[in-house]
Amino acid sequence: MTLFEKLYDFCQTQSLPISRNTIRDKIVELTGCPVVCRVHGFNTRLLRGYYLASDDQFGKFPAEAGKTVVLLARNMDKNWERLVYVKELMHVFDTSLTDTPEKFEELFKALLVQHAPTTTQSTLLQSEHLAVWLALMCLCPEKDREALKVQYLAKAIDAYEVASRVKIPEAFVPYLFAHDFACIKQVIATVTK
Amino acid sequence: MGTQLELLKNRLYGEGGLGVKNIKLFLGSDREIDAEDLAREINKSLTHLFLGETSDIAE
Repeated sequence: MTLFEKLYDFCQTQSLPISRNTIRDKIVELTGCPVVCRVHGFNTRLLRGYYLASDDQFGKFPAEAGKTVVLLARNMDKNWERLVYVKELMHVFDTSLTDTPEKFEELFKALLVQHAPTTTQSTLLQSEHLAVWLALMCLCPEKDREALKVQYLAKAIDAYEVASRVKIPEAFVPYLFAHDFACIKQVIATVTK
Repeated sequence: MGTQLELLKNRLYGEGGLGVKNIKLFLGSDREIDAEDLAREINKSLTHLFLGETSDIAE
């Protein structure tokens, strides 16, 4: 069982809404990877946050020495903040790393190009997209996702109510109800630690 | 190659830099953005991290 699968199983035992700090603490317990989260005044038209794992052997970040940093935009809506935070935390499980300037530039440029998802996508770009799905799997246990899907398809609730219960941005509700959401579980073991 | 992106790569991977093992991004609301603008935004945030001028997230 991979570390992510252990986190996934843990999240299945939780109730909505699942605290981002509960997820963070479980990740730290499972991986032994200390994570610190800071907020910064990003221009959210450009960037909502990032994940940064480094040796920082020169101690350039005095307050974050030896820790993986998640930096989030200040003043995001709380549901956006939760999603971005948990998505960035999912990169602890990455197997495709930007550990050279060439790989970073590849990802950087791929992110700026709008194109349809293809099987030829860079594995680095895939890891960005996958992290969103992993975050949603942690924030919404499968039993709750199935129950919400039934109510949503029966038009008993709308996307806003789903988003309010799971506490995610409404724009990400369609991900939860994508026909292949459950299929993601089958590929997780091959693409995460 | 833009100046800000070169600066950013040097800060992340260059000699005396951060020794980055993995960095991933969550882009913002604009779909068409300039690479130099994005690199500048990250460079600014690194400066604030260096200076200890970021804040703790509200628990």
